[in-house]
Amino acid sequence: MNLMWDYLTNGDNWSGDGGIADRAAEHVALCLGALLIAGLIALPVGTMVGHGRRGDDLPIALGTLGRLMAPLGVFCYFALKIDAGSDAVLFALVLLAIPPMMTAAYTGVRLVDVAAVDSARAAGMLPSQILRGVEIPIALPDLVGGIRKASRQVVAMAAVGAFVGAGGLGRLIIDGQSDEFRDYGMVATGGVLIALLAVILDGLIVMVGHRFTSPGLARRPVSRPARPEPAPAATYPTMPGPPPPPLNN
Amino acid sequence: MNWAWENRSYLGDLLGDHAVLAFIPLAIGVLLALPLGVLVARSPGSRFTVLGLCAFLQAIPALTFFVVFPALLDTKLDDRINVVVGLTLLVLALMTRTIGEAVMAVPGPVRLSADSMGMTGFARTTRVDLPVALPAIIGGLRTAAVTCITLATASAVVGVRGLGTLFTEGYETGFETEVLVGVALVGLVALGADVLLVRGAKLFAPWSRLVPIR
Repeated sequence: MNLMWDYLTNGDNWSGDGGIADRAAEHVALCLGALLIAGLIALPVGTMVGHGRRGDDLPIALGTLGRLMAPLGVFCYFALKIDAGSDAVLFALVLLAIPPMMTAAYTGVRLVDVAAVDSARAAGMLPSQILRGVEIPIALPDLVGGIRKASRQVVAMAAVGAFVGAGGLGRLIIDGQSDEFRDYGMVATGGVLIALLAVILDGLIVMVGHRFTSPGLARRPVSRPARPEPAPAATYPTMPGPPPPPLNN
Repeated sequence: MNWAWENRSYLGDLLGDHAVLAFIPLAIGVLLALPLGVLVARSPGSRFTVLGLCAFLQAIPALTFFVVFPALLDTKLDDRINVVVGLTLLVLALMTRTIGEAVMAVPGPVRLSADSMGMTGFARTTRVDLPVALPAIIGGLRTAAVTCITLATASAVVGVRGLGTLFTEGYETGFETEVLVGVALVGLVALGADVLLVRGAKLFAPWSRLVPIR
């Protein structure tokens, strides 16, 4: 840990070309880029499949396949096929981020209460309105969950991508092992900063998601005004009983 | 494919190393998670702390564990102990949460009947709560197993031997086939573990079919 502290407190390591600040910015750019592209592909497809209740096999098969792929292998393959560097890693990251998002979007929309969809249809909403006004808002917590899962994976895997020459904080881990530096402090710093970045990004996504989620869907019950007194039980007409006895006899 | 056949003994070695990296953490993690998960389900007081800790652990990339543990455990960077400990923590976090949630989801009437039969807390946990929760627990185990197997390959970046070595070697020598063989092998092992768990659930917990495991 001392080595890491030495590395962190040395100002030279922070600034300049390939400094920590530079690497962190590269990492964020790479991750956000991959998440954005993957989201633009996966979320619409996932919601449409969930909405249309047809073509279920696509997200299921993709989800299974995506889980079985070893990320480092995918990076190495694309780096050899396309070209070493950030482009190959970006492409591979997009591929890795699509399955979790698509699965989440699909299951989220698919599991929306049928009664809610039916009542929306009965109220005269068009299918497109149902999708925008009912299904997506109700499925939003699931969508956010999928984006979180994807972002966790992408931040972690972008670091592994440094092995095939991508920029980002993973460079600290790879370069720190190289003969040029041989600095364990640099390696450990890279590892810790990646974790920090993952946690921060996760928190941001949760916050943004919370901002857009309808309060009625939040896990925690919303404080609502006390219920009005229950209406008195309906009185039913009763059979006429015997007449009351006269009071003064 | 010829290359894979000619180097089958090498691949077998790596497969063995990979099994150590992936399955030992899985076993230790699950064993540790069982009591923790039951604790979480039993005492609401511990729930917040333990589950919060699990969520924190799950947010940390595995690569961080691989490179930070050498300092904490005083090991070399390419020692496989780091990978085993790191993945154990990940499995522990995932399974504690799964087991806790699964035990909490046991229907109230089931517990009540167990209690009214005069079962003690321990007997109820081992003979009612855990068997009823088993299908959900196996569902979590499938995720944990597949994650372990694929994540263990990332440790090749810091020089640990395993199936990930095929990727790093293949990349460094520019030999595409080796990388592809690696991807296929890792995928097959992960798929095998997944299928085995589903089969196992059907065999040892036939009531799993009542609750579909995803």
